[in-house]
Amino acid sequence: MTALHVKKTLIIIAAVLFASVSCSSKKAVKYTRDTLPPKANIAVIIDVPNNLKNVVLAKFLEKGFSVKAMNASDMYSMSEIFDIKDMKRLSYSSSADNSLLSMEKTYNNIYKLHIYDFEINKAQLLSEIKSKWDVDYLVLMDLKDWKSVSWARIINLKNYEVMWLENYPTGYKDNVETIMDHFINSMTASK
Amino acid sequence: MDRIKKILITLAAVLFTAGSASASPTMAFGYLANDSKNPDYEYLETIFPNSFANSIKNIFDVRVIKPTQINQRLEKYKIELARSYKTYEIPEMMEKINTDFFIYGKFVPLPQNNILIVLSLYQRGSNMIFTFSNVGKMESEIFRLVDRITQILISLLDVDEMFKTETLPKKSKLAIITNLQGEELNQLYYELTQGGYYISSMQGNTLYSPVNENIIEKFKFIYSENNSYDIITDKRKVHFLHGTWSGEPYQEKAEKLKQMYLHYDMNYPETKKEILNKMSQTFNNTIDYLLIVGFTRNRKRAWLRCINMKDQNLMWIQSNITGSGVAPIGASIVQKMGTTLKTPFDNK
Repeated sequence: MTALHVKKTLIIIAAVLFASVSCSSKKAVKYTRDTLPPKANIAVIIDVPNNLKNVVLAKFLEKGFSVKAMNASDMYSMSEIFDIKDMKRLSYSSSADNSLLSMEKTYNNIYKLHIYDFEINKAQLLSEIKSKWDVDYLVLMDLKDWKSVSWARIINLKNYEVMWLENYPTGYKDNVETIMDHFINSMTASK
Repeated sequence: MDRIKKILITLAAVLFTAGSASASPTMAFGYLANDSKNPDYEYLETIFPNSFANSIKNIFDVRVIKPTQINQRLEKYKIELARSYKTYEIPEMMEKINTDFFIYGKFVPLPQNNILIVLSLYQRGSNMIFTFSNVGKMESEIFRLVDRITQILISLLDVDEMFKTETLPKKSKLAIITNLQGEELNQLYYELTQGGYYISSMQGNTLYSPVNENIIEKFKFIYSENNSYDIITDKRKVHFLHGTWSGEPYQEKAEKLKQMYLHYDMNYPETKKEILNKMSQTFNNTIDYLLIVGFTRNRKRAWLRCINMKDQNLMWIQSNITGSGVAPIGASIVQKMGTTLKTPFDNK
């Protein structure tokens, strides 16, 4: 076998490997514990420009869902997370012994407790949304272009459980409308 | 952590390669302090560590140092092996006895002839301490108890760094904290659901997550009442200097720092208990297990910690879960959920 042949074979192997890795990372997955009932009261969280947000809203309304709330971006305020970096600077500039072993543990614990707190705050907010706005299901969506994976997830606010999810590799011919049609059909289709 | 990993991998390689005595790691066994007020049990303080040492020595090629031998090494410093140690005293003591690992603990006889054993494992130079507890029958099953605890130690020192007290039953509801979001988080959720588990909406109720590769690393260290893997705190090094020279602003600042250390370090077990209780209540007590999974940036390796939310105990530690991406690692986690620790004693 000549050096050229070896090179060609290696390139082909590399291409096949690359393709297989790309495919595996863009694998379509779908899980349905419960389907979204007709005329359900939903809140939609999606991060897209307003014109596309209208398309998403129209698609849900067209299918008979009662869209109680819709956010252009995430509905939880990330600014409420305390900036721990500031605390670190404050501590280091303090008169406390910089070599103390407990410093690392203290920082770690602060980070952890803030993440736990953040999750608790979000759950409390969801409970409030459910009771005040009569929302039963939270729909999270991220619509992507061709070669990427669009994904969606539904949270049942009665039990805080993920009741449906799907990763959908966006096709060449897909647009916002076709992806929305796909997702709505999928989330309402029986198991 | 890399250093710890290197030592553990070396140790695991040595443990499983019989005959390479020259590279054998040394494990020192301190006393298991009698934590009851009954002096009749004091004889067990030495019997237990000697039994653990013999049990490990019988299976793997390690050099074990028993309490009497530790005392011989400490003679030149004119000190004796103590019955118990504060965690911050261990690193200094390790330098004196010059071994790779130090294992010590305590026991408490319980009603109905049971005994609680609490064991701590310290690896030289790591500044981390792993503590776990186990309950067994005092007389009839004492050797089984020794075998079980030895098995926990061996699993922990294996490359997987695995510790597990129970399996996760199917249909349990899992809350997950991880450094994944969006499509990747869906992939992980999917694999767990295929294993028959239900997923709590924790973290999955946002498009984006604040938990990145750096933050998730903080969750590697977990304290719980019965089992913990935590950083050693040296209280002696905390100084809040004050005097007549210090004005009110300084005092206020020092007080704030003091409160911070009390809340987030010294009294952290109480603080954490409070927040986990609040978390359970907020999610209407529906979460069975809190699973914390940290992925490397390239998603080829992961570690996990799992807390049983019913008793808030750390029940599963595992490192070095490998795969070609999130999906295979997720599938591997599911497969491990139903397994228990290896039992090398069955093959003796």
